[in-house]
Formats: sequence, structure tokens, C-alpha cells
Amino acid sequence: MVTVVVSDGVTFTMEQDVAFQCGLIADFAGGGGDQEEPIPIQAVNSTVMRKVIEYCEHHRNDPPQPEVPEGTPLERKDRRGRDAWDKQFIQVEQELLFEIILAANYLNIKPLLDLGCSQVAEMMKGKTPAEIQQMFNIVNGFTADEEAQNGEGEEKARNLNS
Amino acid sequence: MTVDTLAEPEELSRFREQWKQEVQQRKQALLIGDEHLITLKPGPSSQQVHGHIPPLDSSTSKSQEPLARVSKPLAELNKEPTVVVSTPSKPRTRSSTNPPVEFGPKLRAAVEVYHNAVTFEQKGDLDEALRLYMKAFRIDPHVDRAFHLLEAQQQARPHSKKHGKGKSSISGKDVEVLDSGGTPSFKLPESHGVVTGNLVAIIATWPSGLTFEPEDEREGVAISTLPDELLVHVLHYLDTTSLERFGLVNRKSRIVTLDSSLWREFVQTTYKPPQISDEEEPEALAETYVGDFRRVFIEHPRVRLDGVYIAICHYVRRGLSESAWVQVNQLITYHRYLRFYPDGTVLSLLANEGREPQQIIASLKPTLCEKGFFVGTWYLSGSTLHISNLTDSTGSTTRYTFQMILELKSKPLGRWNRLDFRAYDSVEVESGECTPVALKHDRPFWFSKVRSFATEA
Repeated sequence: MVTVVVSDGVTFTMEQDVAFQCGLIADFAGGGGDQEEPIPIQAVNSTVMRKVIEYCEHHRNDPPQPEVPEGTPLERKDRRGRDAWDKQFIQVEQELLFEIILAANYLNIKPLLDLGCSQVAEMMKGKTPAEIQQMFNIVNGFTADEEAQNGEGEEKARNLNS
Repeated sequence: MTVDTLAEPEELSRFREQWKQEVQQRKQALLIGDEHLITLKPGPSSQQVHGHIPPLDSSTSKSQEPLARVSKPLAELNKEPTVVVSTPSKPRTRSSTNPPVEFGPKLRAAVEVYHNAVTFEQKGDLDEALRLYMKAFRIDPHVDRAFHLLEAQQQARPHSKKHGKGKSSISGKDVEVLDSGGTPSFKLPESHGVVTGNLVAIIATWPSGLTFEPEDEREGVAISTLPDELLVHVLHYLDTTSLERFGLVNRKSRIVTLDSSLWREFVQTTYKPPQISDEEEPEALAETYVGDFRRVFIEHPRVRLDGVYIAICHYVRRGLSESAWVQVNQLITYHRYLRFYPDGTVLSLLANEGREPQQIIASLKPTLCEKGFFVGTWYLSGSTLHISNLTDSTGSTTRYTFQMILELKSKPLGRWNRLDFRAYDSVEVESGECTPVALKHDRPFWFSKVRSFATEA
């Protein structure tokens, strides 16, 4: 069993095969025996940690990730390994989604990081710049001149696709 | 003044000269004081104000000499570098031995905004100019001096940096200018990569450390919690259209979408034979675009695999008529279709009207077997498309194959969306002899995107 304590003081105890999907915990525990002291994870709060553990528990029996050949666009890599459960799992509020990505990055859980990032990309796909601005609550901030250039850019973007 | 100078006593004329000079100097001092009240304050406080601009060696500035002979406060004033350049109407020459001016990032950003303001003013767009001037002064109240100081320096060294507009060298360390034989280009900080073309002029003026600002102040901007490298990771999941659209969201997104790792990937997956010849390398290709992978993708010819090229051709057929009074002419329309595959296979179909293009496109697969349907091979060399070994799918004519040479072009709306016939030959298989096929009715091919093809490609 591995015990961790997160930023808001909550302690989580989990099986080693669940915990070791986090590269960080695996490194910390060094692979040897039961850990007596809880491992401090300051960058993650309990809400996010609960999600992370949910993910790790679901994927505890996964075979190791097959190596993807260099140069395969992620767009295509993504099509593998994203099952219905994953899709359901990652349907969360925007804020939590970004927190999960940050946690996955910090804890070094590659598949979860990829899942989170591809979900953000999925949200952006097929949206106009204005829709993306609205979705992420981003102010435009281009000058009038740049806006004019953007007009062309928009045109370009529409026609660039291959 | 209409006084006869010859009649004047010598003393008087000398006095008058002195007096004129004094007036002149006082005027100048006033002008300076007006613009920079703060610089007239003697003592350490003024020194502190200008701490971020190292004083220049005043002895190298010849134009200061007349001033230096006057009163003491004025002489002190002359040691302030800013005084020299505070009157823009007066052209200054400076020795190139002046030390280069180093600005902090904040001031540098301000100067860039100021420079834009000047450009707008010159173009006559006063509203925009005013807005930018105000912005520049908000960033740093001494931006005007810094700007003129730089301007003067650049005039003094016209040959050391050829990037005439003065933008490039202002940008300082964050954005390194690459000299690439006329093509303006920028090296973005750290891993971001190289940018060339129109974007350079825009991006060069942006301050570093861009962020996502909230549209609604009451709400947070969750996406801004992601560091750049994670944001780039997200963008790796996007196709070029979505990526470019995200680039139009704001400045920050524009910069992030220029990350060369993103475009390198597109280039590497797109530009391989038959899209380029076997000897060419994507990396070498990028070098011809000064390492700007995005530009390779935009500007280097590539055959579109995500749809079909269609040529609509017409001709008039004289109809037969029983009556000598009526002549029936028929307008005949036929379509040529070309579909390309990444493995070098090309499908060519000549179809008469009467069948809907949608229906034809859906059936346009290598397994199709009908009259007028040919399967061949293709490769692209520069913008010249070579199609050869077009073989009849029904197997009825095995003695001949066909070959085409077409020119690939980008027309206003779209990329690599037009193919013009350059040659069309029938080739006798046994002898290899080419006979040109008449092309009098043939029109250029235009590209149409087909969603189902895009996912297969």
C-alpha cells in the first residue's frame, strides 16, 4: 500500500499497482516495499487527486502502452486507446479539466495527460476564433491593424486544411 | 531688420551677434525644459529618474558644443543623453563609437508601441496613433526619449543593421533577427521556432510575456493555468485548420501556434514521396524557407489528398435534324475526376453528365471498374504533377496507357486547388511511343474537399 497526502491535507491510501501509474510516486517510493511515511503531493488538491485515482484504478490492468513510432501525428495517435470510459471520465468542468492536466503532468501519468490534452483539443475543433474566445473567456486584444490581417488569416485557415 | 550693417560700428555688430546667440540658446533651453521638465532639476534626483538609460559620452556629440559654453546648469544638462535628442526637428549626427543603448524589457515594449504609433501617425491614422501613444506612455513615461535615442543611434549606424524600420533591433534579446538575404524572419524565444513573412512585422512589435486576458473579469481563465509546453501538447492534437483558428484567438495563442514542433510534424507527415522527389528531405525543404516549417506547409506545393480534383468540360455537338429549317445543337458536359492517394496511386475517371457528382465521388475507389476509369501512378516535382501508367480498369484496351503532366497552382480561395493540363499523351505499351491526345475541350481541374477522403488519407 502507498499513502499520499495532498495539498489540502487529505490522505489517500492505494494499492501499489494503482499508485505506480504515477511516475512521480513510483520514483518516490523507489519500487521497494511498503511506504511508512505518506508521500507529500503539494501541487494537487483532493478533488483532483480523487479523479486521478479513479483513472488509475480503472487502468490498473492495462497492458503497457505500445510505443508509437516517431512522427505519427498525435491527432492520429489519439484515435487509439480512448475508450468510452475515458471519454465519459474526461467530461468534466473546464477548470477541473485543466487541473487534471496539470496534475497528470506533475505526477507524470502520460496516458492521462494525453487524454486531458486531447479533450481540450476536441473542445477547440470546429470552432471559430470568436467561439474559442468565448469558451475559454479570453479577450481578443488584437489591434485594428492586426484584426485586418486576421481577416486574411481566417480565410487562410479555412483553406489551408489538408 | 533693415539696418545697413556696413555703417554699424564694429562693437555694435559684435554685441548683436552675441545677443542673437544667447537668445537662440535660451530658446533651446526652454524647448528642452518644456519637454522634459524633470531634466532641468539639478542634483541626484534627475540621475535616478534616468537610471535605466546609461548616459552617453557627451563629448562625441558635436552639436552640443555651442550649448556647452553657456551657463552652468545648461552645461550640466548637456550631460543628460536625452537632451540631445529631445528636439526631433534638429537632425543629429552621432559618432558610431557611442555605446549601444540597453533597455529593460518594459521600456523595450513601450518603445515598440511608440514606434507603431509613429507609423500610424505618418500614415495619417491619428486615432490609432493617439491610442498607441497613450499606451506607450502608460507603459513607461520616458518612452519618447528612449525612442528618439534609439532613432538617433540607428541613423548613426546605418550599415551595421540593415533592418531599416528600426523595429528589429529594438526587439532586443527576446527576438533575435536572422539575416536571411532579404527575407525578414524572426527567431522566437526558446523552442518556438522561426517565423517569416507577413507575421514578422506584426509579431515583432508584441511585448514578451503575453498571457490570456479574461473577457469577463469576474470569471477566471482556466486555460491560462497551462504552461506553454502543455498548451503546445494540446495543440498537437489539432489539424491545421483548427490550429490556425486558435491562432486567431489572441496574441498569445498566435505565438503558441507558431511552435515549430507543431508545423514540423505537419511537414514531415505531408512532404514525403510522392509529394516530393526521393532525394529531397523535409528538413532540407525547411531550410529553403529559412527553417519556417509553417511556411513550408503554406507555400510549398503539395497535392491535396483530402478530396477530389474535378474538371467540368463542355462542347457543342451538332445535332441531326430532319428539317432543313431546324438545326439542333447539343451542349455536352462531361467531368474529369482525379483522386490521389499517399502511396502514389491516382484514379482518373471520365464521366458523362447524367450522373450526380456526389454519386460518382462516393464510388471513386481503386476497386471501381467501368469505362473511362483508369488507375495510374503520380508524383510531384516542384509544382509539376506527373501522372503515368493510366491503365484501363476494364482491361479492354491493354495496348495503350495514358500519361498526363499538370501544373499545380493555388488560386485565390484555397491551397493547391487547381490543376492545369500541360500535356496528355497516349502511350503504346509495346513501343513506348507517345501520341498527344487532343485537349481542345479540357478545362482546368478544381479541388473539392471530400470529408470521407480526408479521414482515409
